[in-house]
Amino acid sequence: MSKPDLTKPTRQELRGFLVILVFEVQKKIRAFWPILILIFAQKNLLPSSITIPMVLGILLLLLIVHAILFYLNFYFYIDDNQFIIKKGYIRKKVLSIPLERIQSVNTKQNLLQRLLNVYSLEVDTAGSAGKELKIYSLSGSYTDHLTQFLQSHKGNADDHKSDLISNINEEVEILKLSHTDLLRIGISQNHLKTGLIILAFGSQIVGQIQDLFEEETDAYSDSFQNIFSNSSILFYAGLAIFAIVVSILATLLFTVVKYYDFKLIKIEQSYRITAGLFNKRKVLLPFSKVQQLNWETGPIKKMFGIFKISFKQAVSKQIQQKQVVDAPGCLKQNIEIIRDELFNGDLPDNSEKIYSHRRYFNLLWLLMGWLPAVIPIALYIFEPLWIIAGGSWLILSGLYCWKMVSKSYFQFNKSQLIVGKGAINTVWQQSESFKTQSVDFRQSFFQKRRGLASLRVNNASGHIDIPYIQEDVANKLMNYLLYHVETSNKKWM
Amino acid sequence: MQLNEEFSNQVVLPDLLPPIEVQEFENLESKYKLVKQISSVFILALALIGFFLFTYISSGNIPMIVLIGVPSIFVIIFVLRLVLVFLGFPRKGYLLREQDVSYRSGLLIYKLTTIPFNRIQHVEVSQNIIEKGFGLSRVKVFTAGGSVSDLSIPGLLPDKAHQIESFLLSKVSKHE
Repeated sequence: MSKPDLTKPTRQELRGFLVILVFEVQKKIRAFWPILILIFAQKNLLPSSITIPMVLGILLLLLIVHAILFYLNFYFYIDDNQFIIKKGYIRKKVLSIPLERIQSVNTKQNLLQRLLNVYSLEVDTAGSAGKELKIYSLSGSYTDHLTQFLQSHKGNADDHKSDLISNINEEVEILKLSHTDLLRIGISQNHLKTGLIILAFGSQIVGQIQDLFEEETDAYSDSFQNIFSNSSILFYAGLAIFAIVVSILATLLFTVVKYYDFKLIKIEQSYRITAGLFNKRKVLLPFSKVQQLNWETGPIKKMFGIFKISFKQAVSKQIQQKQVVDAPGCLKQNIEIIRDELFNGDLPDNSEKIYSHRRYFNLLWLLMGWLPAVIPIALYIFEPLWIIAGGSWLILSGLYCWKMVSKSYFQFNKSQLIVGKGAINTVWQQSESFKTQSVDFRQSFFQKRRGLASLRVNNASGHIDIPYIQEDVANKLMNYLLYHVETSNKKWM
Repeated sequence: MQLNEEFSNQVVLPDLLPPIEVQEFENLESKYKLVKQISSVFILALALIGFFLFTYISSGNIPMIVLIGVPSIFVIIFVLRLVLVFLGFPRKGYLLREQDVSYRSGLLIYKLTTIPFNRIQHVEVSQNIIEKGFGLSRVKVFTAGGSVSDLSIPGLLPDKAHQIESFLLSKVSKHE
């Protein structure tokens, strides 16, 4: 296959026109839905000679013309270290992004795109522009070349370029999920959350059905209603089991759809993740752009010996949604390999674990236990039985908070920081010191009396909290982190 | 490799590092206290109007204890806020060092934020309506990524604010 010329202004792939049309229609509906609703609701406002189908037809025609013009005027190319997108037919717009500002390049393919054999490409810069940098319809080979070029060409890549091309095929597979892996991941997800949603939803429906029966049965006989209310405990138990089963099935389904054919491959100094059953996504993740690495395990995950890894990248201000790339179903050794590669092997695993002070428990229990327990105080006066519920909430939340405190610690080895946290799950967060963007030192009145303080270490992808450590340790760590950032001249984004 | 140079550089004892916690911070203009107190008056007024609108709409089904209790709780919170603003004011302050900018505040919950110059994305001077009335400005410092790590120094005279802004900008451009 011949290599496409990236410097030549190129239009999108014609065979994906339908994709462009669909995306543009979506965009317009999102922008103009109030007007559409108005037209439908106030039919009589329209002149009698114009019917709804006619309006829709005209709109569709306009949209098709719009999409054609959009397609004809949409060009992209690379020129002088800039990736340029030209678009617009009435208002012309030229977007140019310096290559070194590009954070990540993601490829996606939904069902329609798969049928037409085209891909969409999203370029993310950690700044403005946001979703504008999206190309809907590209051929596979062009996508690959463009992605590779954009990724390999960050900043001073000129001298590395020749190496890169020779090594381009050196792909190392780090993780691949089989069907049984998917099954394990699906089972070990948090079913409690899904279950509770379904339960809340289900009990509402049951309540409505009961109301319905109460009305109906007056006219017939009371027998059915009696059976119904006598067996209501049984009914709720059944509903609970049903909810669990449904939530397990739902999460399984969700897992398969999202992580089908998951592959994590190392190419040069970056990872490539491909996954998805219907919507195929492909993410290229240069090591240097990973701001923070999280990995976690839970009770069921632990049984299978699996972890979930999340690569956290810089967040664009406009999108605000976190750029997190997950790799579920990692084994211990996968994590070790990934951490070794991402952090150049200098891991703080052997340095001292400094745990949060026990007083952290007081704050947590106050917020999670006492506050929710005290707020419905009127309920306890009118219905003393609720005191039991409130009391058991206090005990349960106490246990939960205790678990949280006992899992909360940090490790530091000058160049890197690891924070451990979690209650039922265990989560670890690791980030390199020089990627810190700012540090917050927090100390409440109560902490001050005990000589304690909390730190928040902010990076471009979010923050890492270190709660309730000794005040002097917090100060030292803060000064050390600042010193690190201020003496570092490495690129952190 | 450059990496090694950097790491050998880091055999610095933590105690020798310049400590941020003992520095003398610059105080804000004392007019800013008034700005804060006036904004609390506005909040109180809004809360009271909101509450009375609510009682007006729900016409007369509210017990007397609530009718008197809730506004008086609002007023108590307001008075507490005034006291806190007054007492907490001397704790507010900013600090410019060779390599970073810091802002601290908070009486009950003390917070100190520091952003190194080489992580600043952009700087901006702004004022809200009340601040404008008092002739005060604030300097906002932004970093990349989410807006969580931003820092804002209020209660500055406009000249001072612009001075700080251009100082920060000169430092930022040096790191580009």
